[in-house]
Amino acid sequence: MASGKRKRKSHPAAPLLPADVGDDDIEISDEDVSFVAKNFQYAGFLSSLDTHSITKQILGINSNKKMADNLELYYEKRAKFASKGKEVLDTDSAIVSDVLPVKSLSGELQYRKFNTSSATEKEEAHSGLKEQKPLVELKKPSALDDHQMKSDLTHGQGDNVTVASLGHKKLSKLELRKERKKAKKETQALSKGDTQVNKSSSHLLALEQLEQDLSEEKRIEEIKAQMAELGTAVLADPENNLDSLTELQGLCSYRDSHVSSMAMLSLLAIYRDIVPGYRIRLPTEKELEMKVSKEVKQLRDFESKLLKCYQRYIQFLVKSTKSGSLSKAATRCITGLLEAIPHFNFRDSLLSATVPMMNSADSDCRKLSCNAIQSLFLNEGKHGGSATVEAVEMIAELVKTENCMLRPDVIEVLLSLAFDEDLNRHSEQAQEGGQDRRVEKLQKKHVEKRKKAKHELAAQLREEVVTDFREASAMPDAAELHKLQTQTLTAVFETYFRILKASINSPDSSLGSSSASFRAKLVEYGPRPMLGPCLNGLAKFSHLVSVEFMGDLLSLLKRLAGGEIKGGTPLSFRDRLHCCVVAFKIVRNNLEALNIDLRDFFVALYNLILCHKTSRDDSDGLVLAEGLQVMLWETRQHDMQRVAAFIKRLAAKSLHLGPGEAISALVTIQHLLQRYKRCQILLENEDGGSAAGHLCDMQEEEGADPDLSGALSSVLWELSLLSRHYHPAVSRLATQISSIATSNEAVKATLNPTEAILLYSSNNGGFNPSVQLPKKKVKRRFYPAYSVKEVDVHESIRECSEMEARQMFRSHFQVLRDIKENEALRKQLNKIIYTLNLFKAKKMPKHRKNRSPMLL
Amino acid sequence: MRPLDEQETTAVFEKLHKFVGSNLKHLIERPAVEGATAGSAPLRYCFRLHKNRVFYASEALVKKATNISREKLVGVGTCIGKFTKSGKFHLLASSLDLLASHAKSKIWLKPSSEMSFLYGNHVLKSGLARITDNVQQNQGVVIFSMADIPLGFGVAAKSTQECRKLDPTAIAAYHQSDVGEYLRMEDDL
Repeated sequence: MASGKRKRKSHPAAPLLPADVGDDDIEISDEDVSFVAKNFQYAGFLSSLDTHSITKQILGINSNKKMADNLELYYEKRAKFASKGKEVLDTDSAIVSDVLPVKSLSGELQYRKFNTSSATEKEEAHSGLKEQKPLVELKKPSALDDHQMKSDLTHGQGDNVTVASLGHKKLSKLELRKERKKAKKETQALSKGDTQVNKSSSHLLALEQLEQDLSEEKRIEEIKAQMAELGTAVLADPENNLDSLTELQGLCSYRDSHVSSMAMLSLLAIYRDIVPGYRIRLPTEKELEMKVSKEVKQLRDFESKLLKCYQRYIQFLVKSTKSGSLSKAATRCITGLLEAIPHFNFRDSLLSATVPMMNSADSDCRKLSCNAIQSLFLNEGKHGGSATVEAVEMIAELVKTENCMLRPDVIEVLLSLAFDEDLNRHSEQAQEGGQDRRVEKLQKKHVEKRKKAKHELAAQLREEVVTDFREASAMPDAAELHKLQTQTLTAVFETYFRILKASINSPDSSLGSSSASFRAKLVEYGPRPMLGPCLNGLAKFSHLVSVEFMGDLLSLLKRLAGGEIKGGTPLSFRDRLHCCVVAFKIVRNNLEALNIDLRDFFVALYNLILCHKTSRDDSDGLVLAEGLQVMLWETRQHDMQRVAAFIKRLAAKSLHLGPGEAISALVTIQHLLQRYKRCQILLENEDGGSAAGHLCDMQEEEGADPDLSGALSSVLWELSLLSRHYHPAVSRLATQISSIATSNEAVKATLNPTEAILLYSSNNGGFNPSVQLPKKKVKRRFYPAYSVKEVDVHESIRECSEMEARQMFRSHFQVLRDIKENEALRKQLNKIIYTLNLFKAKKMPKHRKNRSPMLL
Repeated sequence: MRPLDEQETTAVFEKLHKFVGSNLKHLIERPAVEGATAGSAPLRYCFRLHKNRVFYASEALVKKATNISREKLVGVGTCIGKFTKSGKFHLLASSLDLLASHAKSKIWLKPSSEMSFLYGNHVLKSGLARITDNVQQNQGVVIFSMADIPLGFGVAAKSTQECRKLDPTAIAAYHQSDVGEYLRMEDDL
C-alpha cells in the first residue's frame, strides 16, 4: 500500500530529515521576519501560542504537524481512520509524508532521495510507534497530497527557511508556526472571504484545544490497541517476538498511571502464558564455550532474553509498589505472578515484596497478597514446597523484626498451611530406618571377606536402581518433602512462640516509642493483635506439636490463661479462655504421650466463668461454650471435688446468663451429673453435706481452686431458682436436672454446649425457639386472623397475610369515607332547604305563582 | 502432750508443704466446727506432739484431752506422722485424707496396678493412668485410684515432662505410704 502511494506521487519523495541537529544552527531569514511584520494582525496568535503543549504533543516528531495545519484534512483523515481501524499502524508510510524539502543557500528547494537504509526506517517507525502518532501516517489520497505539496512549495519559496540542520524540537516549532500561517491562508481561500479573519483565528484556537483533548483520548485508545497487538504477537510466537516485551515494558513507565498500569497487567498476562514450566538456569561459561546445536543455542538465547526481560519487569514492579499511584496495580501483578508461576526464577524477590504487603494499611493490597501466599500454601504442587518454606520463614522474620505488632492477617495466612498427618510418624520411621542400617553395618562386619565383595556389588546395584526409580517417578521425594515440611513447621511454631512470649511481656514495656505510632494504627485489633490468630493456629496444628516443645508451650499458655501479664493491659476474657481451650486441644491430640491432668487450666476456667459478662454479640458466649465443651464435656476423668465445684459454679453463674449461655451451662451440668453419679449428692437437700467434703469446707466466693471449694458438701439450690426461669427451655431443663437422682430413666443429653448456645441464643431478638402462649379462653369472632397464638413477632406477621390486612383496612376506610360523604350530602341538603325557604319567603308577599321547581 | 517446738514445726511444715504446697495455709487456718460458739471467733486446728507422734486436732478436742493423763492417752485427733529416733519427721498413712483433700499434685493409677501399689511397691510408668501437669521431680504426690479414692502418697521420681518419655518399666513415683499399711503394719500405726 505504501509503495503504491509513493509511486502515484507526482514529485519526488520527500527527503528524510538529518538525524542530529543542533539548536544553534537555526536561522530566521529576513524574509521570514518581514512576512510576519506584514501580516502582523494575523500573526497575533503566535504570541499567545501555548508552545509548551504543542511541543509536548508534537514532541520532536514532525509527523504531526500536517494534521495541525489543515483541519479539513485532519477531520477527513479522522473519519477514514475510524473506518480503517488499526491498519493505520502501517509504519513505512510514516516517514515519507512528514519530511520537508530542504532549501539550499541559493534558494532552491531540494528534495532528498528516499534512500535511507532500512535500519533507520525501522528506528523511525519505532519512535513513531512509541509516540503514537499514527494519525499522520494515514495516507491521504494522492490528490490531497498533491495539493498539500503544492501549497508547501508555494509557501516554501516565500518563507525561505534556510535549513542547514535543524533541531528536532526547534524544527517542529518553526514548522508549526509556518504551517499555522499556511492554514490561515488556506482557510481564507476556502471561505473565499477575507472578512472573517479574526473569527477564524479564535476558531483555530478552540479547535486546537479540542484536538488536543481528542488526541489524548485517542492516544490512550491507540496504546490499548497497540498493547493488544504486541501481546498477541508475543503470545503467537514467543521465540521471535520477545522484543515486544521490551516495548510493553517501556509503556509501563508511561506518565499516565492508567496506561502504565494497563501495560503492567498485560505483561502479567503475557508472562503467565509464556514462562516455561521449569526454572531457567543460565549456562555457565564452560557450557557456553561448548559447541551446541543450533536449536539448543536458539533455546538458550530465548531463555536468557526472557529472563532479562522478566527481571526488568520484576524490578520495575517491586519499585512501583512503593510509589503511590501504581502500587495497587503492581501488587496485583506481583501476586498474580506469585500465584501463577511460583516455580520460576526471581521468586524470592516476588516473595520479599509480597510478605511485607500483607501488613499494608491498604486493605486491598493486604487481601491480594494474603491470597497469593495462601495459594502458594495450597498449591504446593506448583513449586514443590520450597516456596512455602521461604514464605513462612519470611513471615517469621517479619514478625521478629516488627516485634509482633502486625496486622492479624499476616498470621492468619498460616492457617491454610497443610501438613502431612503422619509427619511425626514419618520421622520415627526414618529413625528406625537409621537403626536398621546401623544393625546392617554391624552384621556386615561379621560377614566373611569373601562374601563382602559380592555384597558390595549388590548394594551398588540396589542403589542405582533406587536412584533411577526416583528420577523416573514424577512424585517429589518423600524425604525431601518431609524435610521441607519440618522446616516450615519449625518456622511456624517459632512464630507462634514468639507471639505468645510477646503477649506475656506486655507491649508497652518491651517496645520503644518508635512503634507507638504504629500501635495506634492497630488499635482496632486490640492490644495484642496477633494473639487470636496465633491461638487459632496452635489449635489447628496442635497434633503436630512435638513433645519437646509441649512443656514450654503449656507453661506459656498457662501463664496467659492465668492472666499473669507483666504490666500493660490485661488479657481479655476471650483470649484467656481461648488459651485454656488450645492447651486442652494440644494435650488431647498428643494423648499417646501421657495423660495429663491440666489442673492449672481448670483453675483458670473456674475463675474465668465468673469473669464472663453477657454481651450483645455472641462471641464471648461461644468461646465459653467451646471451653465448657472441650474442658468439661469431652474430657473423661475428673475428680469428684472438681466436678462438684464446676457444677456449683456453673449453676450459680447461669442465674446471670442469657438463655443461650444458661442452657449450654445447664446441659454441661446435666452431663456431668449423669456421668459422675457421686456428684448427685449435690441434689439432696439434707443438711450437713457429705463426708468427702468435710476436710476442706471453706466456701470462698473467689475461691481460686476448684479442688478446695468444698462444693461437694453444698446443695445445688440454684436449680430451684432456675426452674422458675423466664425462659421455658431453661426452666424445663432445670427441673429435669433436679429430678435426675430420683427418676429412674436415664435422660440422654442430646445437645452439647456449643450446639445448645447456637440453638437457644436470643441474640437476634425474641425467644428462640419461640414460646407458646397459653390458649386464651375468650375467642374473638370478628377478626379470626388476629387471634394470635404465637408471641413471636415474625410468626404473627407472617400469619396474617397481606391480603387480609388489606381487606381490613379497606373496609375500615370505606366506613370512614361513607360517613364523610354522608355529612357532605346532608350539608348540601340543608343548604338547599334553607334557600328554598328563603325563596318561598320572598315570593309569598309578592304572590307570584310561577316558581322555579328546582334551584340546582 | 505438748505443742511442737520451733524445730519440730519446721520439720512438719516442710514435709507437709511438699504435698500440699500453698494449701498449707488452708490446713492451718481451717475453722473447726467442733466446740465453736456462736459469735466468738471460730476455733482452729492445731498440731500436738504426743509420744513422738504428731497429731492434728481441733483446739476444743485438745482441751478435752487434757483430762486424760499422759500415760493413758493413746491419741487425739488425727495422727499425721511421727518423729524418728534421729529427729526426722515421717508422714503416716493416717494423714492421707488430709493430704488428699489439699494435694497439689496427684497421680491416678490404672486399676491393674492398684494392688501392686497397695502392697508397698513403687509406681511404674506402665501403671500411670494420669498425672497432674507440672509435677516437679522429688515433689510429694498423692496417689489415687481411677475412682478418685486416695490410695497413698509418695515422691515423684520424675517430672511430668520426663514422665512422657519414660520407659514403661521405669519408676514414676516412689512409694512412701499407702492404705495397705492399715493391714500390714497394724501394730505400728
